[in-house]
Amino acid sequence: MVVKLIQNYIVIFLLASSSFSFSQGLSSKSFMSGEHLVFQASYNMSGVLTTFAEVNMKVATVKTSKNSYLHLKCTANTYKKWDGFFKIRDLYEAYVSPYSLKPSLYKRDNNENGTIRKEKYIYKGNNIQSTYVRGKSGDVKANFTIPANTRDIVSTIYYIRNLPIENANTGDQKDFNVVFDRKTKFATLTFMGTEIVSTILGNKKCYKIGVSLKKDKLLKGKSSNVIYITADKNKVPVLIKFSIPVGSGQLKLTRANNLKY
Amino acid sequence: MKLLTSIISILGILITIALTIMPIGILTVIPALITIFCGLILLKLYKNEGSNTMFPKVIIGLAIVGAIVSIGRSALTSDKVAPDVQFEERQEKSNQEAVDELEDLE
Repeated sequence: MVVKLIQNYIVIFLLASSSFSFSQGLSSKSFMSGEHLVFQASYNMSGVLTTFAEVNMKVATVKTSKNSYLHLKCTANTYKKWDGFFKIRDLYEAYVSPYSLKPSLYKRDNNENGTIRKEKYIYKGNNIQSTYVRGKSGDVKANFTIPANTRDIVSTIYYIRNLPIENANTGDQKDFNVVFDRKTKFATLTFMGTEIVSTILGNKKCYKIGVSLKKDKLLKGKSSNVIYITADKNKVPVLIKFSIPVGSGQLKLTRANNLKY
Repeated sequence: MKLLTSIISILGILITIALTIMPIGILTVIPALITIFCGLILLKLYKNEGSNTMFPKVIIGLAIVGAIVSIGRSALTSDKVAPDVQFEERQEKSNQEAVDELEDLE
């Protein structure tokens, strides 16, 4: 159950932090290579928040002989005090165009209490060449089709951070698709207005966004799954509150380095 | 009354011990306080009956120890991720492989 919870956390965190595209088109980038965000994950037990993991999000530039890409990396590590009970070392990566943020490659390498799960997507238009490994089984290769403008979870985060949320009105909704576990998930984001939130960056005016997944047990109801994103040019996700079938919790920003603005 | 209080205190001490073992901070104080409260009621009942008070005393003692250990550990341990060379190597290897895969894509 705990491993499932951690997986849910990652999905929720990634989806939640990937708030909205209420209008179309990319605005100027809200992040740059070198940006590093650190979050503390907590789980609500009988009203007491218990911290259990750290989530890191890093942006770097990767160069090949012909092109350069943005390397978007997300890692989740349980704290030392939890490692003896269940040790999580998860890695999620996307390699995207620095101009359009269109993904070329997505990789997932999870080690959750010794259970290995690896996944790789190579994007070819609306098709994905996937390679999947779980436990001791060998590589399972499969090709599948995704709807247009469907992205993996990591590149979605950064793509959406760049969309012009500032143009949204309270109550505005936006549907979008995310591919995860070789399935397309249909998500709805609802703009719930702005709120002042106490953060590591100070008291910040934040966009408040409700997140829900369609036809999925996870993340039901927009009001209990909320993300707060700074209402400035950086659009940093500073606080994510969520409710899932096995409980509720939050992710809070604890460090932010190399913000663009 | 005595039976019910005994059952609650036994359940309370089991939960207290379990939560003391797990690193979940001050949450342990809640079952510990309930256990201590039930233990005190039992102690009074046992004394009124003139019975041996060892059981409620042990329950109260264990609950106090559990609460102290949890509070102490919560205050003394910080939220840190242990250095993990293997994970660092996995990330480095993944990055190197990705560069090769991107080269192949081009």
